[in-house]
Amino acid sequence: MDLLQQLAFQGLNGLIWGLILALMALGLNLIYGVLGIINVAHGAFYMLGGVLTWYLWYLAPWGFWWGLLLAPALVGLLGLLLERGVLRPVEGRPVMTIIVTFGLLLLLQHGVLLLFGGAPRSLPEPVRFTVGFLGLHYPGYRLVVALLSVVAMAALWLLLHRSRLGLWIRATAQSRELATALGLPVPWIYLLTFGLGAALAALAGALTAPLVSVSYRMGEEVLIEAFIVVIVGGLGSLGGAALAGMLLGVLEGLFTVWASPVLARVLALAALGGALLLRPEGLLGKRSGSGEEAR
Amino acid sequence: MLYNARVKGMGMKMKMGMEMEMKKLTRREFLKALVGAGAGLALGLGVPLRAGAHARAGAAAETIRIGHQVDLSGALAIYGYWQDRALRAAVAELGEIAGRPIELYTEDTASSPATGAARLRKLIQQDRVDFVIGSQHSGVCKASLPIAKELQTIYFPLGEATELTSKWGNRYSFKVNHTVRSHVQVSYRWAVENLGKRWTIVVADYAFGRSHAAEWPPRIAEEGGEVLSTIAIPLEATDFVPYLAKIDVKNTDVLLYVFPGGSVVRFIEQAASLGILERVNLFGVICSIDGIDTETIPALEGSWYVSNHPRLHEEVPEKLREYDAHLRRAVGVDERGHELGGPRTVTGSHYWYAWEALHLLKRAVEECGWRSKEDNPVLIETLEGLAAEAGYGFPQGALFIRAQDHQGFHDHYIERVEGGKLRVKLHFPKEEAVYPPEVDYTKGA
Repeated sequence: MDLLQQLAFQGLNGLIWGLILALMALGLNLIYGVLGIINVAHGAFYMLGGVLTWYLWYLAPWGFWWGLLLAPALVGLLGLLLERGVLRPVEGRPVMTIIVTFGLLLLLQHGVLLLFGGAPRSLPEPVRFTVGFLGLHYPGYRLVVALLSVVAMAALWLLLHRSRLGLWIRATAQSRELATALGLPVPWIYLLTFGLGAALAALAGALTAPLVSVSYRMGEEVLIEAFIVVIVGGLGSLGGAALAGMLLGVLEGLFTVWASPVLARVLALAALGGALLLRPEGLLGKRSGSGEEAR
Repeated sequence: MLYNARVKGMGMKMKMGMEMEMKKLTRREFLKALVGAGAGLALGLGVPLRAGAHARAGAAAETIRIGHQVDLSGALAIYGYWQDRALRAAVAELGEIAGRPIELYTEDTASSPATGAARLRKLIQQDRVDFVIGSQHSGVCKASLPIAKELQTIYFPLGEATELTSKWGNRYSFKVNHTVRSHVQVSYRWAVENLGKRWTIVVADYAFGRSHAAEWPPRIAEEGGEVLSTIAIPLEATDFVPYLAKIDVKNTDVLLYVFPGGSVVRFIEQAASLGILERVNLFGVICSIDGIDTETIPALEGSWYVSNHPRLHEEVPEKLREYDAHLRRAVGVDERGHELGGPRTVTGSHYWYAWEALHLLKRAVEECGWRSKEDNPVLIETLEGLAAEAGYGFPQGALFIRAQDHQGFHDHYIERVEGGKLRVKLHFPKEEAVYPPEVDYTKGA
């Protein structure tokens, strides 16, 4: 491949991963912005999305597509239960939430280890085609992933900005006290937001399941990157998270043209670290530092 | 003043009230925390993690304790699964060593050097095992070898990096299975002559893969070939496309891939989807597809492997078939290499390691009259240079342990995927696998 082809290829690949990261980061940010929870278990929700999709693929024809629908729904439901049952006492106290959600992560991981086993498993891409451009053949399913990610993000935006629930979520993120005073059902909003965030993570996991090996630890790497993206994008800023996610992905892809992918990741993260030094509040974060505003 | 006194009085009452409040809460919360911690502890201890599955054959003081440091989860889980089964089958069959019942202690490395090393310590120091059969993961082996030496416990690393019996080895380690150097040595001439002169090498980026990355290029150059590039991929990598895109497909004749574990399916499929496999000769060490059902991956058709033992029973040399059948029966594998009553494919080239290691250990212990770890020096001398003929204990074939570096040598094969099945094309006797030793443990160390 010549340089232009390489750039296009790796850049596109990076963008697709960036979109997945953005999905993860959006869920994380939503949960933090509204509930004040730093959700370390987010990686486990991603993993559950992948594992459930694998099971559905294994058990049923068209299983993958069912997985894409059911895995986020089921994990979202789990999120509801966890918010109500486990997390409510520690909401608003970020340090405690780290500890509690870390415990959840361990429980969920080892639960899956018990049931699913320790060996990574694969499922095939549900659609096999390549798209030719610039003399390259790019695997078609990845483009489907990109498309579906964008659709999910657009749907999220619509929910947040064009629906009453979205209005309530944003209001609660701005000020819980005022929202309560105005009569909003804040406990329900918390419940649904956490479930929504978990569902987004599971969707990301379901989408990537055919691209990676599904295993009980598959959420670990993505989680760290998602946190980085959330901080760099601006804690509480959804637009920032999406932007930072895509930026990280694309940068990593472009650097891969000249460096090994491992080094490319180091360089991309360093670049993001540099961005954070220049704008400590994050790319699109608010300087006023309340950190609770969800856009 | 009165007013002040009253306020002060109220203040004091309030303060006392609050303190009592606080005390009440503190005690209640303390009790809650205690119950919670107790429940958590019970849950933690009760949850049967993969590790710590102990098979005790009657915990009498006379038993011989064998530790198995095995990769039951993580990247090399498929290898660990079969090593575990094979060792359990060997323990079940032998039952005793020198009249003493065998107790097996199993710990999961999680395919991680840090975890594996910690579990080794646990096996030796807490479970007080007499011998350890080690991990398949060369990185775990590397981390474990110094510990085996420190704790003076004989250790059988099942990894394959050449350095395990040179730079990193010591008197306490014995390897029944080949090193990377043997694999390279038996096959490089054939490969350059028959597959092509221009190579791209893709390896898993850890001890085992790096051993390959070091061993192949000089040998290929010897035969007049050249290595265009070496690409290292982390063992836990999930998306291979960024790495695959770096292969110079136009100029590559041979794509050598050394990538053990379940992720290789993903690697192959992604390579196929990028059109790479149609244009190169795919050559690997068997570690890249052992445990993988070749019939379900059309992209593997026509690929070549240097292997240690045929996966199909019908491909096993005539004189070994009886022993091979016995091993399969004992471990629960059918003639095609599929798990009986399960979905897995056997790691046919690897799963005999643990089986033969135990049989070799039994022979050595019984020969020298070993009774406790104090007799280790004598046992070590017995193992050095020990040779075994093909038999039920050694179904892979004749084996010998070289005295200087405690390295085992055995036969190898070249196999090719044809019609989805691995077919033997060449058979190399163990003498061809021998290379000069780099160390001499007989002189100490």
